[in-house]
Amino acid sequence: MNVNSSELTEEEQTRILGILIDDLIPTNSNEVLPGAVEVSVLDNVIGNGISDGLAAVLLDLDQKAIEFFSTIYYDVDVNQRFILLNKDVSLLRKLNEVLGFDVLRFYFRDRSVIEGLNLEYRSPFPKGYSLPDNKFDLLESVRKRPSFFVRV
Amino acid sequence: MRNTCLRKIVSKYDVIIIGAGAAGSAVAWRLSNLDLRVVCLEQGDYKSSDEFPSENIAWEEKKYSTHHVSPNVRRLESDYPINDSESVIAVANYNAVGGSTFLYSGHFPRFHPSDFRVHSLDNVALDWPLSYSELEPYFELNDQIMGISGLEGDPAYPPIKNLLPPVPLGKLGERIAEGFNQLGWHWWPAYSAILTQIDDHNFKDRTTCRNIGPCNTGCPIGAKSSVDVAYWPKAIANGVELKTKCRVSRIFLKKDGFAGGVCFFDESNQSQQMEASIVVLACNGIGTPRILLNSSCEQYPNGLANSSDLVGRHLMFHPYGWVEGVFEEDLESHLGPQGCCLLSQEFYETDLKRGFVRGYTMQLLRGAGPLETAISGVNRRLISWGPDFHRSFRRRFGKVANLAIIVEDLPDFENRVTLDDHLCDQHGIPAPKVRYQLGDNSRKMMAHGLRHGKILMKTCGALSTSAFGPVRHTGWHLMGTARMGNDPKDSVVNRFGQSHDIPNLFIADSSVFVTSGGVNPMSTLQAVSLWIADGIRQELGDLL
Repeated sequence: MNVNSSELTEEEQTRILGILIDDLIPTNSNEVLPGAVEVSVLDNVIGNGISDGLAAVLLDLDQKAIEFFSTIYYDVDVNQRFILLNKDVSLLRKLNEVLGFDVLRFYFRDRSVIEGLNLEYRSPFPKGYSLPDNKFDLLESVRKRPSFFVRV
Repeated sequence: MRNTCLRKIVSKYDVIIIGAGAAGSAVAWRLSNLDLRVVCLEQGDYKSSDEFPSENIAWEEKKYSTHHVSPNVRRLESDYPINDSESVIAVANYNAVGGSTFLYSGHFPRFHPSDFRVHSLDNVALDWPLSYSELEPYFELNDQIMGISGLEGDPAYPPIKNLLPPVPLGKLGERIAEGFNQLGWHWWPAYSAILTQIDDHNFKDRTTCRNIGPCNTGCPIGAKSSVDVAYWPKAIANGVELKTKCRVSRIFLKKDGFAGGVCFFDESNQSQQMEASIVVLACNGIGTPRILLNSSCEQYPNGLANSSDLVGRHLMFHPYGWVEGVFEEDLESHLGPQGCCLLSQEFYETDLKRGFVRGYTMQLLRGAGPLETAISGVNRRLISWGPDFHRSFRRRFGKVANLAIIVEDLPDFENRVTLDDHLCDQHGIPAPKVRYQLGDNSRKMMAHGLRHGKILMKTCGALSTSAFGPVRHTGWHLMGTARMGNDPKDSVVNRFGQSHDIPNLFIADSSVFVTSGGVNPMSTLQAVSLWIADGIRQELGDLL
């Protein structure tokens, strides 16, 4: 971004968003669950339209990167990006409001994520789950107790 | 708002019921097959099962938008706004055929016998003008229609019979039950409006629970006993007319001072009038006083049925406490019907040593699904974005036990529903305004419940616990705003729901509750509705 500019181009927004989403739920080779960018979260967020609130947060991040690290956001090192986010609680709160919910909802819509949690993917007519039969012997001590409701 | 109806419908009914939820459906069914012309006007519409998100890819998301518990968040056409800015608890409801049973969890315990005698026993509030034993046949009848699962032999209650097998406790329930046993505290499998068994004779048009949850966005398979599947098919088969997308604005009076019928906006938003010999309000503890207050006229400038000045007053919620325990092992806590697992009534009846009167229920809830786990975890900074996201998510998903503390709320004259001076719905009908704060007794009870909930979680071996209350978006239980009683000076309706002021006007919903009990009110509410329907039947000779 041009330091003098007060707006990001669409391309710049998309690049920052991509990095940001990857930062929020990163890909980890030791993890069964995929990272957010692996399951089309970015495409879904962009497809949903970048709100004014989200655009403002992206711009804020970019400007803070320039202020603290003298470089644009997507050139900042990942650790420094986290420092930036955690430095400003109100920015993190805003990020949760304008992006967090969408990242999570699109992430947990993905089949590989749901099945990675040993859950049934919710296409129509899921079979559901079986739970173990009740162990009623657990109630033995309660059953022995005399009635304790107040009689009127 | 216009004070008169614009068009007149020539057809006249014997009975108009306003509201097709838990109360209206029960009254409609009970009055069906009596050779009466009965019509029910509902501001919402039928919900088809493909609108229920539970089987959909976005099954958890809708809780945050179209299926949110607050009408102020949902803002559906069927909703009306509620100004609850002066209330610590926000109103939760749903407007459709089935009403709030569409969103309820199906937890279905009854009030205790003592709940009807609070003044006699504890010298607070008033006694009900009816008793548990009078309601008992109606509890049983309602259980048969709804389909209630549970287990007989609970020492906290008089005998409750003819229950379907209880819902599964699961690993979560067993773990918590062991903790209750260690402490020597009462617990019992949940009384649940959820089918666990069907046969050729009973509930054959529905199906049994598949543990897919969450139940509180509607059950697409009819396992949860919402009244759209339990009562309405029977009432309609018996000849009751159910007209949807019809919003009642007011009840009008005839020259003789009796209710003449209702003004409403039909599905084309046309103002209409419908006449009837009997009008029954069944719009819950907020909607019912709203209509009565909006029906003010020359004869009743403070609203209908309000000579006692009690319409809208004594609003009771159940202040809701939340206790959370996080466990090391996977309890599969997200599996099973979300609101139904087990309950404890160890602290239900009065023990003055606790520092308060009356008591509360502990209701064990299942854990949330993955999206809700993540959202609440991120918002509370218990799940971190970044490299620790998956690890911190797994520390909670399936491993959280939630305990609700359902506190009995005592009636307070100043806790009330009025009409907002400015806020209106899309038809220009003034919206309700709620003013509510917790009383001293409720605060003490809440603190006791939260403390003992944490003791329970620690006894069960939770790694960490947290507790808070009252939780804001938990105002499902709306009671007391047109209470029943024998004395017209301190009640709005008599023991059969009949207005003291207007003999052919009845109220059949939880507005008539004198006290709140310390337990989910749906079972008691429907028993009372059936009781009131029988009261109406007794009056038919005089009123038709």
